[in-house]
Amino acid sequence: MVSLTFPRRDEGVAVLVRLDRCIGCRACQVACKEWNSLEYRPTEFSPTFTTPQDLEPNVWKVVFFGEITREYPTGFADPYVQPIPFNCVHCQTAPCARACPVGAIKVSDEGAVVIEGRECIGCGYCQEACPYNVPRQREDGTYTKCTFCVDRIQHGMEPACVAVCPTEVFEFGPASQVLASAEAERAAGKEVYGLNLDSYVGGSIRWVYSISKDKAHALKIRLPEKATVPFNFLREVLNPVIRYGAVLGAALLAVIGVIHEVKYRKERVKALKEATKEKGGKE
Amino acid sequence: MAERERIEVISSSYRFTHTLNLFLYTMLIITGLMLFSIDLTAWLAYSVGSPLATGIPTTEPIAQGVQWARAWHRFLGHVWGALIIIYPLYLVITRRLTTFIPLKKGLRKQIREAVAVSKYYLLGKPLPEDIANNMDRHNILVAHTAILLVVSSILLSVSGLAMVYRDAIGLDLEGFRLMLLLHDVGFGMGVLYVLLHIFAVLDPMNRPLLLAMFGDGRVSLRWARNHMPKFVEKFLKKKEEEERIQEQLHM
Repeated sequence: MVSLTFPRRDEGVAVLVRLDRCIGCRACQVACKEWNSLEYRPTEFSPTFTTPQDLEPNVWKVVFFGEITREYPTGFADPYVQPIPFNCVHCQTAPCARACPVGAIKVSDEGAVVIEGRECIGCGYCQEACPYNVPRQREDGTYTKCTFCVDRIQHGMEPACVAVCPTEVFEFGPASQVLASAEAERAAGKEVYGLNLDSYVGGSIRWVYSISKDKAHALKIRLPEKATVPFNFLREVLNPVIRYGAVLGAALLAVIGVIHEVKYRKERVKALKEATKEKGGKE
Repeated sequence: MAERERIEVISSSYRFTHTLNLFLYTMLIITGLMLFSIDLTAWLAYSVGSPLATGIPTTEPIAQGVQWARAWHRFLGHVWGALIIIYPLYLVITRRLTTFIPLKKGLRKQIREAVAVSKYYLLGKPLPEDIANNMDRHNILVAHTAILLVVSSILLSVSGLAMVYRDAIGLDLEGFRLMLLLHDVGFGMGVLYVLLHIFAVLDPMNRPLLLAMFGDGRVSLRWARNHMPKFVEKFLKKKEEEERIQEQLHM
C-alpha cells in the first residue's frame, strides 16, 4: 500500500488539550504505557520534572514540564511550572506518511496516523520529515510512535490517555465538534495551537492545544511555531521536478535526436547518390 | 599513416571503468528510485520482495523489496564510491585526464564554442570552420557536463556516506535532513548529466565513438581528422616522435 488518503479536517476524530486544566499527574503517560504494553525502564534524576526527558521507542507520551515566568499587569512576576502532555499530534496531511517510501505509515478513516511495524524498513524518513520529532527507532531498527489508540477508537472507546485524565484536560470527539470547541477557546481569549499551521502539515493537527495567554510561551517548549521542516519541504518540491523533468527532458531530447537521425540519413543518401553519379560520369 | 587506419581514442582502462560505472550507476539508480519514488517503482519492489516475503509471514512484499533495494544501494554505493575515487586519481597521477583541457581556453572562446556545439546538437547547424579545426579530444560541452557529473558525484557520495554512517559520525537529525536533501540534489544533477550524455552519444555523428566505447576503443583516422583534428595532430606528432626514437635506437 503506497497510496495515501487523508480524511478532511472536519472528518474523523480530534482532541482538544486544555493545558490550563493539567496538573501534571502523568496518569496519561502511564495509561499510554499500560494500554500499549510498552516496557517500563527506570529513569534518572534530572533538573526538571519531565521524565523521561523525551519521547522514546517505549514512551509514546511524555508530560513535559516547562518552567516559565508569568507576568502580571502590576509588574509582579513569578515562576510557574506548566505541564504539557505531548504525543504525536497526528497532522492533517501527515508528512511522515508522505515521506515513508514503503507506505508503512497508514492513515485511518478517523485520522489516526499509525506506523505499521511489520512494514517499516527503518530508513528514518518519517523522523526526518516530522516537524515535532516524534517517531523513534526501536532496537530492531523499525520506527514507532503514538497510534492515537486507533484500536480503542475503532471500538467506540476514547484513547487511553484521554480516558484516565482526572481533570478532563482532553476533550475527545468528532473533529468538527472538537474544532468548534477550539475556536470557542480562541474566542474566549485563549492561545490556541494547531488550527492555523503550515501547509506542510496540512494546516492543522488533530491534537489541538489551548492555554491562557499569560502562559502561552510554554507552548514553545515542545510545539514549534513553524510546523515545517524546510529541508524536507524542499525535497518534496524537488521530487516531482526531477521525475517529470527527467521524463520531459528525455522526451524532448528523443524528438531532437530522431530529427537529427532522419536529417543525417537523408544527407548520407544524397551524398552517396552524388558520389555514384560522379563515379558513373568518370567511367 | 593511411586514412583507413584506425587510431585509439578510448583506452582499455577507460572502457573498463566506463562499463563498470555504467553497471553500478544503473543499479544505484534502480535501487535508489525505490526509496525516492515508490509510486513509480512499487511494481518492481513487489516483484523483488514477493518471493522474499513468502518465507517470512510477518512482512509485506513491498517493504521486503525496498529493504532489499536499500541494502544493495548501500553496498553498491561503497563500490561506486571507491571507483570514482580510484580512477580519477589514476588519471591525475598518470597525467591522462584530458576531459577538462577545453577549460584552458579563454571564457569568450569557451562560450562561443559551447553555443556552436549546442546549435549543432539542437538545431543541426554545422560548426564554424575555426571551431571545427580546433576541436580536441573533448569539446567544451563535455568539459562543462563533466563538471556537473563531478559535483553530482561528490554530493551523492558524501551525503550517502554521511547517512550510512550517521551514528558513527554523530550526525544529528538536522544534519541527516540536509544530507538527504543533498542526496536528492546530487541525484537530480546526475539524471541531468545522464540525459545529456545519452543524447550526445546517440547523435549519428558520434556513432563511431559509441561503437569504440563498447568495442576496441578505436575510430577511423578519417573520422578522427574531421571531428577531433587537434587531437589527431597531437597523436600523429607523438607517434612520429616515438618512431624517430625507435629508428635512432636501431641505428
